[in-house]
Amino acid sequence: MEGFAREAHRAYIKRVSEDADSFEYAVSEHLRMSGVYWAASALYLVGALDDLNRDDVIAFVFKCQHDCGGFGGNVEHDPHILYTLSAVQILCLFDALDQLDVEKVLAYIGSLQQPDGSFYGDEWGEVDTRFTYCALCCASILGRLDALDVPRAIHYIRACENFDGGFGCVPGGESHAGQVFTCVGALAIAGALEHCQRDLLGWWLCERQTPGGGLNGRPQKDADVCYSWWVLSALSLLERDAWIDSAALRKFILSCQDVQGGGIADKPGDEADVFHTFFGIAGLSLLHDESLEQIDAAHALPVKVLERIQSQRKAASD
Amino acid sequence: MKLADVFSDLEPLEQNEGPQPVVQIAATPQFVEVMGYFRRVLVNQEFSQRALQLSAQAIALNAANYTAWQFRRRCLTELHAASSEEQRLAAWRDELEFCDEQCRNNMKNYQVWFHRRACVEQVGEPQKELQFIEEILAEDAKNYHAWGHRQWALRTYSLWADELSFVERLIKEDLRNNSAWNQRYYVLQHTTDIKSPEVVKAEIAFASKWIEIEPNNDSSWAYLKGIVRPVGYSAYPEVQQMCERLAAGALDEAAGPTQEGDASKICLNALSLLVDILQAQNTPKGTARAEALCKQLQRLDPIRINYWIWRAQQPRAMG
Ligand SMILES: [Zn+2]
Repeated sequence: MEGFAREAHRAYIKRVSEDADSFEYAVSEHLRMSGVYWAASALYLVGALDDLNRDDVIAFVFKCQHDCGGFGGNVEHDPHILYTLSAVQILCLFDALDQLDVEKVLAYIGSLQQPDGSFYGDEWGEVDTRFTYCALCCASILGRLDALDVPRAIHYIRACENFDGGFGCVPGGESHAGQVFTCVGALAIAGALEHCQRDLLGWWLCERQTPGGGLNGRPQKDADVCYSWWVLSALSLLERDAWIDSAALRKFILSCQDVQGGGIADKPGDEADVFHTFFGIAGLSLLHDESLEQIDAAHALPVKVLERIQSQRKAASD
Repeated sequence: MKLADVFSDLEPLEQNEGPQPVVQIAATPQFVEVMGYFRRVLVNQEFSQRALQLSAQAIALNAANYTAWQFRRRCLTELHAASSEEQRLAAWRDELEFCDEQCRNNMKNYQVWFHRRACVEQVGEPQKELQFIEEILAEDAKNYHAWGHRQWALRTYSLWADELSFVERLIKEDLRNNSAWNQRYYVLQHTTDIKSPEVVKAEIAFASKWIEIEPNNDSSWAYLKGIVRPVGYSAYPEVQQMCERLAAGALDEAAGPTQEGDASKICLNALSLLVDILQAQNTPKGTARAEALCKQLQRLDPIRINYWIWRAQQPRAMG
């Protein structure tokens, strides 16, 4: 079994972040903000954030901000809560939160909350528990959960709980590991994990491990590297991560690496992309790989970054 | 007609984005041209027929471009702000047809489904939606967005009447279709008292029928547990009886050393539910048996060995 190809991944991320000629770059135009977050986070976890040009990244992020406070997925793209969270996360990684008009961002996020506690993704009104997570995560990073109606948000998440203990994207939506992460993550951030059935849900999550060691998102689906993050982070927030076979999962993630060209794919033999590269590395970090920085399971940011933000906030208020 | 002629009055707007080397997108010349004009009409807020057509081209190049979808809704609204009701309806019907094609081609894309909902709301003919979703599900029976759209239509327009038989048909086609099992629960939750003894009894019978046909199916077992756990297993002894029967083979085999390859024949789900039921009984005998079963499960389900070690120590964990 090959080890973790750190240098190859590092080179791969730098290459795709800069190669505006690539197909991947062109079709991901609308979500460039998230792409930058995946790339920057992955580089941070391997201890190479400096591979990206800090000033360029920060300038790009602010170019995507709108008057309403929200951020678009790229320059000239409409604001959306998904990219607003990515933007805030990027500013955290580069220690640039001081340049952000926090109240403006909070006003934007708050404006998306609905009377039933749910959140719109943007002004058009799509509702999804992913957006609840984005809102709570963002407000929590900014130290301002009080800007949202958290009890109502919790109420809405509970309405999305299913008979198997999992969560869907709206009430009645089938349990899906991605949505489980967003709901458990949001509840963890709200300090309200008592609202999920830890043991029942923990079992549903550990049932996601397939004989090959990888994790899938729903019953009967194939294992996929990105679920290493969604499933494992939820298990870890529920303190049930010991229930799966970590060595087998680690082996699966490593088998999805492109050892020569760098990057991690969704499954062995497929082509690598930045999305799965980040989630693969984040999964390995949650598995306590000692060569990687530790990641926080709820905020999807390095633990060190969150600690820095907290101490800065404390210093500012003292 | 060439794009450059249609938009001869406009200057394409180049992509200007970082981070790092701000290079032009090289994808294809067509991509560059369409997106150049599209960015321009966006910035100009030009709500016209030609802009609407241009957004369709942008979508054809990349259906996940949420800005292009948003632009279409805004554009249609603005274009028909002063139209007659008939004209407005006709335009949204055309848009729904455009959506048909896009949904088929981009089944896993959030934007297209959300756009579809907006069209249905404008047109107001929801019955067609169930038929359309059925066609989509025939291609991808577990498509998350199609199911979400179906639930929205059922709920919003109260179209429940034939849904249970639709779901049963899908389960017949593929008894492991977890989305269909979820949908069955959803329908009952909205149309019955799902904790009433009549419904519970009927659903135990339904799930058991499919479990007997294929005992190794996580979906039917999860459904059975989802129905009975909230009301308690003690009032429904038929569940334990079925588990005992289906676990019997496994218990014999598990007594000896397990052979590689046999595990797939053993009904882990029956053993696992038996542990739930026995622990919930909270009797010394039941607890001791559950502990013994957990020991066997540690061997039979080695990837989750830590879970089964934990379960053995939790006499009343999941009751
Ligand atoms: Zn994936």
